[in-house]
Amino acid sequence: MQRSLRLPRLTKSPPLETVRTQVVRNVLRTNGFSVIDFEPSPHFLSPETAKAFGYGIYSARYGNIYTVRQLLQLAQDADSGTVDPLNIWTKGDRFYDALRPNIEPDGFDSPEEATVLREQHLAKVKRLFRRMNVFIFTLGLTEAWVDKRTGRVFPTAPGTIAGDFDPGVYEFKNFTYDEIYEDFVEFRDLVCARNRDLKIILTVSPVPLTATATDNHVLVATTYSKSVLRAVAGSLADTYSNVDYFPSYEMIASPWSKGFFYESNMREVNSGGVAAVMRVFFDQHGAIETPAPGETLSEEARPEATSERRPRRSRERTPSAERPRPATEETAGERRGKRPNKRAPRAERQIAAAEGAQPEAASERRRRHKRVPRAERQIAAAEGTQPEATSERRQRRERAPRAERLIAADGTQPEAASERRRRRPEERAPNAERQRHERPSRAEAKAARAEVKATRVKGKATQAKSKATKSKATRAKAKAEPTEAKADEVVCEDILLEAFNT
Amino acid sequence: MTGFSLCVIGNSHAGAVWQAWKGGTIAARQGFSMTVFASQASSVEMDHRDGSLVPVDPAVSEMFAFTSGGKDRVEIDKYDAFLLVGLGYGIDLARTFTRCNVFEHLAHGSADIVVSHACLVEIIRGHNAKSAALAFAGQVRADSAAPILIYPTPFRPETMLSEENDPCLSDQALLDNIMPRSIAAVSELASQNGCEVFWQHPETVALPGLTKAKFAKGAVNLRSSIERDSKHVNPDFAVLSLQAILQRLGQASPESAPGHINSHDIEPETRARA
Repeated sequence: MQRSLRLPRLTKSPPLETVRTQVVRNVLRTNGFSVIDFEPSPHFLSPETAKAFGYGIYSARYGNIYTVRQLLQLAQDADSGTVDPLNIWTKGDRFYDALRPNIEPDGFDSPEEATVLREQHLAKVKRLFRRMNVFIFTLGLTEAWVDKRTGRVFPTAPGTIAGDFDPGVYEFKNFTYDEIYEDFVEFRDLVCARNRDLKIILTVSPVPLTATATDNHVLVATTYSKSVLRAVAGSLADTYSNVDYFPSYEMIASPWSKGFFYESNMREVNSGGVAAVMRVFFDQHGAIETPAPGETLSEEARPEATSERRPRRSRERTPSAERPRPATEETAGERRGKRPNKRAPRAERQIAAAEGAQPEAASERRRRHKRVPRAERQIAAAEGTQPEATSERRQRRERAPRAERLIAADGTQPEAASERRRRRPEERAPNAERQRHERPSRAEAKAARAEVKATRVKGKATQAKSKATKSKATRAKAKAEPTEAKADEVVCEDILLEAFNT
Repeated sequence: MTGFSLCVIGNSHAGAVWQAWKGGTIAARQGFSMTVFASQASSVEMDHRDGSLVPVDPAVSEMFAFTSGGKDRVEIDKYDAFLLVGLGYGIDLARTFTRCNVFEHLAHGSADIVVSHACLVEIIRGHNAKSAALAFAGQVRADSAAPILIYPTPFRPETMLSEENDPCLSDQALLDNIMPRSIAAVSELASQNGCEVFWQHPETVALPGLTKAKFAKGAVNLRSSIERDSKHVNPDFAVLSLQAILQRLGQASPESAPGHINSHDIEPETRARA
């Protein structure tokens, strides 16, 4: 990286929580960054419930911000305290804040409640934008739904979580490079006017679109979206001294990583990916190695911090053999030997600590991955089953002749030749008779071969037919129900929007 | 029926139950017995070992021995049913509002943490999920299939309104909105943990979430009788609840007709309304 912003080196971290989406925040905290939370979860909410209510995910309870226009809108609203009653959607007798419809799982009791809580939220965001030192924003999407009357953009399509889709009121918008660039400049100007020392780090979400509301194929739409967002981020970083670009997108999505950092659905970033990104982030921006005076980080929070720091200081002074050693003190080697996770890289151990899980040793993972081809592992992961090792499959297959295996494609287990022989009384019958049973006549053999061939052809035909029907149906469905496709597209996108503070 | 042993485990709120039972006004079937294990300690913690619940704190053991007639531990298999009194289970809106507010509070001034009504109900549920009552219920359930009933902490007396100075605590519309949902959520939580909640008698309720002042007069908290108490209730209150509980367990004397409704008969939120 050519240039990196100097991030503040901060205070000790609060206790770790184990919610999956908080992993990045926790890793940041573990490394000494103070992650601001202006709308923390109230006491007694379980982590799952808190997450369902939008607490503890971002630095305030704004829900997912996918587009720069949405970010600009939030900053403008926070600045003015504006709450537009048009942005209260309904579903049955419940009311939703259209600009963050995910933060109340069952909506609000009344429009008044939704409005007042939005005012409260905007007041918090206003304070947040004024107090943060570093702002990390992940550019997520270029596509959005807009209210024609007000120009407001929404994080989800009207009619999905709540509200009704009225084509006369809402329209689809795919933002261009210029629009996104200008929106961000406006956002930057607005926020930095009141927070002059603010530093901004931009990233681009590596999560591909699952659907698009454009007429393009989703792959084309994804490439457009990522290209435009990446270009805008780079351009902003080149132009403004307080804006930097952090290449997490490249680390995760580039061909060199061979998709290794994605989960089996090829969309979500796995913990290894997060670890890799965070490792580079800390290398570039500086992680804290020592806590503030008088403060200590727990071993649980920093699995390696103490063991790394302590020997380093001692070694500089005295050779290992000469160092006086209390009876209870372990050597670094002993300590490492005790640690079950000694083979996992540090960043992965931190992720695992944040998740409350034991990281898998690299060698174990390699061993496991060698046994089963990747595609099968992905299928097994999607089905929630344990993938079968190639060697096991080969062993199993060897038992039954191929033709029988094909016939057994109806779902039954093909019988092994040895088992069949053991079971059949004919085995003990005279040779001639056995031959009659075991060796089919030429006509019979021909018929069997023809049957196998027919089965294969039929299978292929069925596959082709099902593929054709499916894609036709999908196309028809997408055409008939544009809002549904759009809903997928906006709901599934990941973002990371965080703020740090000294 | 030969005999029936009810084990009562509770905190300071069990004082009223203990007094009510000792007062002799509750008519129970022949052979019915009640053993009360109560301690005023704010957090009664017990170890579960060898089929018994053993208090961690010796002071609690002493109180258990005092209220039970010499038993310093609860031998689970000796009882036919369990009644958990107070132990952090219940709905205390005044306390909840010290930690977070609802938008109605903003009409009376500023508030830092404002949550939706739906979130407030989840907070109340979350508070109960961490109660000692449910912890004990889990320990008992590990060794016994006997019914476990919960006598929740009584709603705060209405006299508290003058002390708390929170207008939302007497906001009928707000209480009508929040309380039935909270009661339903807390009842459901108990049910998920194999317990049944006996909400206080409708006769004792002033407003949803508030107990009539007359039931706070002469309140009992295991230590002494207090003329004015902002948390506890008197034995008259406990008599009404105990009669319902005995009826539920089939242990009420046929001669007595308490007229109390238990949570099987109607929806809990209906019961809690005055």
